[in-house]
Amino acid sequence: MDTNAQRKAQQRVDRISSFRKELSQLEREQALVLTAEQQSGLNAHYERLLADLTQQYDVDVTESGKRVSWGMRITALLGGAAFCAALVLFLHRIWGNLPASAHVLILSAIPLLLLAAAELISHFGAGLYYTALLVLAAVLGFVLELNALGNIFNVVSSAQALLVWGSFAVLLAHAYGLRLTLGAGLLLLCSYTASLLFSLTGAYWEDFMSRPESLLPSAIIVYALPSVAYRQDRNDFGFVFRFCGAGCVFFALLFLALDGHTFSGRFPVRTVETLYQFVGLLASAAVVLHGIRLGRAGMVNLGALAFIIFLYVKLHTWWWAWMPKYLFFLLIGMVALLLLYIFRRLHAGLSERAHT
Amino acid sequence: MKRILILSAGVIVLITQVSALVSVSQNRRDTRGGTVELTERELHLPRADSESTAIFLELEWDTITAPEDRRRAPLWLDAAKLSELGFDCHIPMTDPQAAAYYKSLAARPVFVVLEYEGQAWKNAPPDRRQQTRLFAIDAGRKADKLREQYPDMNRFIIAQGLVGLIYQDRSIPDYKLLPQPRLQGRIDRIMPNQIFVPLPYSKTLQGLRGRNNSTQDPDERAPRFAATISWGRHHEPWVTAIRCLPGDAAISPGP
Repeated sequence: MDTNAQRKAQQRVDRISSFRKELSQLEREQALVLTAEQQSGLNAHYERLLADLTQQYDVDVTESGKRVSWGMRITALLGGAAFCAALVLFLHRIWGNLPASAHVLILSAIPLLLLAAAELISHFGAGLYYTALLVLAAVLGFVLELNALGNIFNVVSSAQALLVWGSFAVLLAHAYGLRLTLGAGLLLLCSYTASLLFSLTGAYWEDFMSRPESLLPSAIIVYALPSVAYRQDRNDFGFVFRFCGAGCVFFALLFLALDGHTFSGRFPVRTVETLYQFVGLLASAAVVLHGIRLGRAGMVNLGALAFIIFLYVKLHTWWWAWMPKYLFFLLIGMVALLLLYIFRRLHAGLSERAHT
Repeated sequence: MKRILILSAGVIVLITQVSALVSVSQNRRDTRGGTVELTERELHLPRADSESTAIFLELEWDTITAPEDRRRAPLWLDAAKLSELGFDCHIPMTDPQAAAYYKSLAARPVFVVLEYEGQAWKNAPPDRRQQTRLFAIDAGRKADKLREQYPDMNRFIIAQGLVGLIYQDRSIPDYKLLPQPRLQGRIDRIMPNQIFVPLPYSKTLQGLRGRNNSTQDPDERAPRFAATISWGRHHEPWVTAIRCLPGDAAISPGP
């Protein structure tokens, strides 16, 4: 089943449901009254359409149906997690009694079998959610497989693992149109490039988070990528790229703004911290503005949250040490009021964009 | 397009698995890292876990440090050695930025020479001499160069390790301010620090896991088994033999 088509079908059903509710409200208010003929024609069309969509894409057409679906999904998630835990614990139980060849065979088969199961489920139209669960399990299975192979053969860990895990996740995300899997893959790829840059200095790759600035180049590329690629973005992947890119940039800048020691150490710590506090403020404001321009509330919220955190860090370094604490929190409150005013203006701007 | 993407993902899994197995086989083709028979003193056997039958031995090693210094900071790992290992130590200790700079330097992967029952062990304080006979005695960036320097493959192990730098401005153990700060290296860890015991060797250890080896004073415990461990071309270890030791034969007098 085409997962993108399924998502679109569910969106259509949701729009129909909203439209019917609004239409009945308009009829009660005598703002719009359809003739009996129009009413029956519309109902017949929608019934036909909903029956088709239900048969073709297994969509939820009623609120109660949706609730039951969510219940089924949560049950499936918990059940899936329990099955995975049972399998891992069972393997632990028998691991020492199996020869190395059996270890390799079992570990190699796990991600491939989960991938095959995801494809089968998707092919027979069991629903996007179950496909997504199995794809995520395949990615986790691949991560576990390499870790376990490394352990049984006493291999020193390598950054290349991040590259193959990330590539695997990104490929599957594109195959099935899965945003969560794409986000996980992008974070793994950002970590890989950061560890690669970090290890070029002669340091050990696993400690790359001790130099968070190594995350910045890949995070900026991930953020900028949708501007040159994803012209026909059917799955809204552009948003995932920007969200992950911005998230990584803010994460790295926040570390540097809080602890300048983590920078190369050739510059005064205070100077580094101040520089990154301002860079963080500017970057978060830029993401808010970009989010408004694109009409993406998620980006605006992420940028706004980062802006507040960077502002708080900056005010803390300016005032906390010398100012009476009550005055510090009073000023924080006043800054919050000012920000509320600005966000109201931004909100109005977003609503205006939505109308146009 | 979807099929190509799924096939590519599958191919990534297969290529990764094959390259991992090829790398393991290359590592085990020769034992240039050394082959040494170590005992339970150097290979700690964790207590049995009811949920797992897998057995991992933890490598126990030590190094000669200043008295009371428990940071695994060998005396031989001084500023000159750190420079040799690739740490940029050009900023003078009198520089106001020195503390911030040296504290910001990240640990580096190097090769560490571990000597079994050698001079370092003989020179160790009596309390530490009983715990393990495996001592880190040198480190370098090139494994081949270290092997030329320490050619006895049955006494010197060349393993991968991680070395960090300590900016030391206080003395140990009294924590008094030093007249001038100094640089000291420390060995953060030997990689990997756990060695998996596969079949058939694990059968020898299964019975020992359940039994407690604490009937005597911890420093006087007799090792119950000896395992021959080889370090290969990539300086990654594996078990090549395991034998049980008779209780009294295992206790050998110290130097």
